[in-house]
Amino acid sequence: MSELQTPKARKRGLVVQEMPGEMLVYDTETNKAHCLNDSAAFVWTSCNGVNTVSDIVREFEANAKGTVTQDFVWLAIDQLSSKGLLETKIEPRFKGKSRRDVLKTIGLASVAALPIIASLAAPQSALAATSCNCSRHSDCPQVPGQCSTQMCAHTGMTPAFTCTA
Amino acid sequence: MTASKDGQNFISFGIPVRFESRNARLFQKAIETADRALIGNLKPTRRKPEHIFTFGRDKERGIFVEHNGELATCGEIERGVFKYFDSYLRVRIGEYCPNRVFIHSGVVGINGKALLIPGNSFSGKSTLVLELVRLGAEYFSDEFAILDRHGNVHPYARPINMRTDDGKYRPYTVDVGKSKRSRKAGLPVAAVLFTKYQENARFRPKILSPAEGIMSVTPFTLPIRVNPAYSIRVLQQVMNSALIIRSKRTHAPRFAEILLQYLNDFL
Repeated sequence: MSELQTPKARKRGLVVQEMPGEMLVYDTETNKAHCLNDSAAFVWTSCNGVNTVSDIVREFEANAKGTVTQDFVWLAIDQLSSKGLLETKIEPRFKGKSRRDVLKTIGLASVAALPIIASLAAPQSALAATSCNCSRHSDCPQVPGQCSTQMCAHTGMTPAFTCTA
Repeated sequence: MTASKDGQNFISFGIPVRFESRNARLFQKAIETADRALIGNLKPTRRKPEHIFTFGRDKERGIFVEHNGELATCGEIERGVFKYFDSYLRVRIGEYCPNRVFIHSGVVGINGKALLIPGNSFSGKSTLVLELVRLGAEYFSDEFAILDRHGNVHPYARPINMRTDDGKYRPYTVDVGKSKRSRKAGLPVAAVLFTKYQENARFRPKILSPAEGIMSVTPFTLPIRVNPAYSIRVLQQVMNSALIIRSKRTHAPRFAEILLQYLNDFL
């Protein structure tokens, strides 16, 4: 992506909840929850398909969020892109560089909190989190005889059931 | 009430369901199991069912349960099949309930406010809930926190099943919160605790932000895939006003005492 390109935040299929200093984004297509810190959230909301990276840097500073470099904004855009939160995927800016080196470089040149996005996937099925509480091997309806493994997973059925027999 | 020789329609937590079977004994067993699983929240209705559960027996599968035409479970041991159905039904109701958010969580009431302890089965939440109740807390649930649209929590009080040293389960019957408020309006959530057992662990609570709280509770939130917008809105209400902490814990009796002392200012 060139400096003149204008990233656009994805809106479709997302549930967005703004919270003090953070933003929670739930992706209904991938069933992943993302927690954006203030810096990442600001960059994401500034990706309107019109702003260039330079524009976003200016907006960031104009909003009294601190002095930052273009690499700072790129760090956020890289993460937003890899998490599927932009309309189009963007070639990673820091490909081949270690995360430690990138953070060190950007961190030294910026006085704002580095953009961070924490993500996690919602479980495949809520049934995986429950149990049948079998008190005898013979109680287990899933894979009789395999209860001693403590994990009864029946091929072809949705839940992987935990059996304690 | 819509009933026939083969089935009957019910409503539970706002979800119309139907149980069907040509086997009268299996049909009766299904209704008894469902009534127990849903703590009596199973009323006859005329509404068109959204979930149809069919019970039967054949040579190939033994006793089977189908959910909307797809096999949910089967086996030769009737008791095992119905145990599975018990869990399956609870989870499905929790996933599809239109106006409540079910979370896998222990819940106790303390001084008119609720403490949530989210966790999967076998994470020790029943043990901890039982210890807190022994120290005077009001029992709400050792399995689900049921949140309304205001973020208040309602009881889901089944007998607590505790594993004994011989590996068997022993049910403890604990009185559910008796105050009118806890039954009707639910309790506001004052604290949420994420904890894991570790031998000799010290209680070192880390306070989480509301967003971290929502992220942490997401894996335990049953309707998160079915109704994410509503779930997150309700979770936000809870997390915005609650103290959210994460800490390892030692043995439940000792930890329960320490926790109650710590929470004394908040609950």
